[in-house]
Amino acid sequence: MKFCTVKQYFDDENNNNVTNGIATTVIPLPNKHLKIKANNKEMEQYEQELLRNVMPQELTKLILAANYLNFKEALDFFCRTVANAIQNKSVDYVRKFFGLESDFEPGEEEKLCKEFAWSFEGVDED
Amino acid sequence: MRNEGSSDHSWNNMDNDILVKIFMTLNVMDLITSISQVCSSWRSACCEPILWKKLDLRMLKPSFVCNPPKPYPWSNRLSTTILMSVLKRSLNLSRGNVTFLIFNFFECIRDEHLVCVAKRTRNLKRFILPATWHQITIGGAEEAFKMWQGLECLTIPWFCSRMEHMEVIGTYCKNLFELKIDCQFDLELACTLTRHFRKLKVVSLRCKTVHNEAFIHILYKLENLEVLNISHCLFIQFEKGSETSFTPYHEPVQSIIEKGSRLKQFLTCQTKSCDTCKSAPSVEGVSRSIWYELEQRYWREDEVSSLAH
Repeated sequence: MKFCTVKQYFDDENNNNVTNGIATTVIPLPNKHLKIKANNKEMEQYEQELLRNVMPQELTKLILAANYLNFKEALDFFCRTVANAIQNKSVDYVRKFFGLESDFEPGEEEKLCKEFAWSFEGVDED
Repeated sequence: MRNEGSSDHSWNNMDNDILVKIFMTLNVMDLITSISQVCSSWRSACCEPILWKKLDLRMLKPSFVCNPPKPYPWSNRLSTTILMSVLKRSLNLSRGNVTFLIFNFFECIRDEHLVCVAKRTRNLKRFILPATWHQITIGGAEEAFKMWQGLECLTIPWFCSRMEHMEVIGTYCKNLFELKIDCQFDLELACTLTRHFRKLKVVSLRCKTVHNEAFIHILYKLENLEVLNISHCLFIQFEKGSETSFTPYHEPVQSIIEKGSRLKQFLTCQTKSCDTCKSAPSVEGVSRSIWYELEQRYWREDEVSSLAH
């Protein structure tokens, strides 16, 4: 099924869902994945390298491309990479990473912050 | 030729399914302290039922002191307050979808924690109690367990010599069919089971001291029993007429093996070659830290896969 979608992509020059740059990262992924599937450490290193070289905005596009191509393994991989990047991080770090802004009422946010002040002691450095 | 406008996707309007996929690999502390506070759409994604089927609180390590001479830890006030915050926040996000809850082995829960959980987890099916629930009163147990009438599987920790609590659980949780008991198994406890837990199908007593008469009692009286795990147990046979003189055995006697073999699954171990049995503390006792470490492992592991966590 995924190869039908890829064929359609190549046939459709004006496909805005998947740009060229993204395709070059997503499409070779199954071979890479198969080659190093048995070795978790290598996969981790590949993940670290990807995170270093790819901006969060690019990661969005990678995820969307993998989702559009119905490429489950790539989608799982990218989602896991994102999760590892934001694990044990502060709210501000996560917002900055994704370019998000809070849309909570000011009082609401302050209340939550106060309630969980103790939780920031163990959090990783931003 | 398609020329759709560029898909203006950003993390602000990312598909909920993708957000949930990412959140699935994060732990509850990440969800409640940062992820659900990022923005309103992320908070909404944090409430997806699939994220809350299993609520695993084992990473929440309480501060506690061991209260000699009894080996019962007591937590400080800060730990108690933190636990309450975590419970309220996570259970509010869960929206009643939690069906499986595990506490940290050393969590010192009190009535207010148990009742707070019960009110917000009406669909609870499986519950792993911490070892240190000795501060739960009868009233607290009653208030909580009457809200858990759908409970099917329970792990009761090593500190459990309170028959009244067992009776309360048995009174309300009529659908309980899997039970792991993590304490010494004597005739009084066996009678409580046969009186109040008639529907039991799966019982694990692994790594515990089991009185032979208690064991025989449940083999005869629990009519629905299908699976029994007595791996790594120490068996006690009292001398006739005596309540203090007994002989310990590391393997069940032949008559017990014969009675047990009528069950669908009767799990024992080869004591002489069994690593778990070899590492078990002797009846004279061991240092407290080793005891805690071993007890925690026994609580977590089980040859019956549905009772391991």
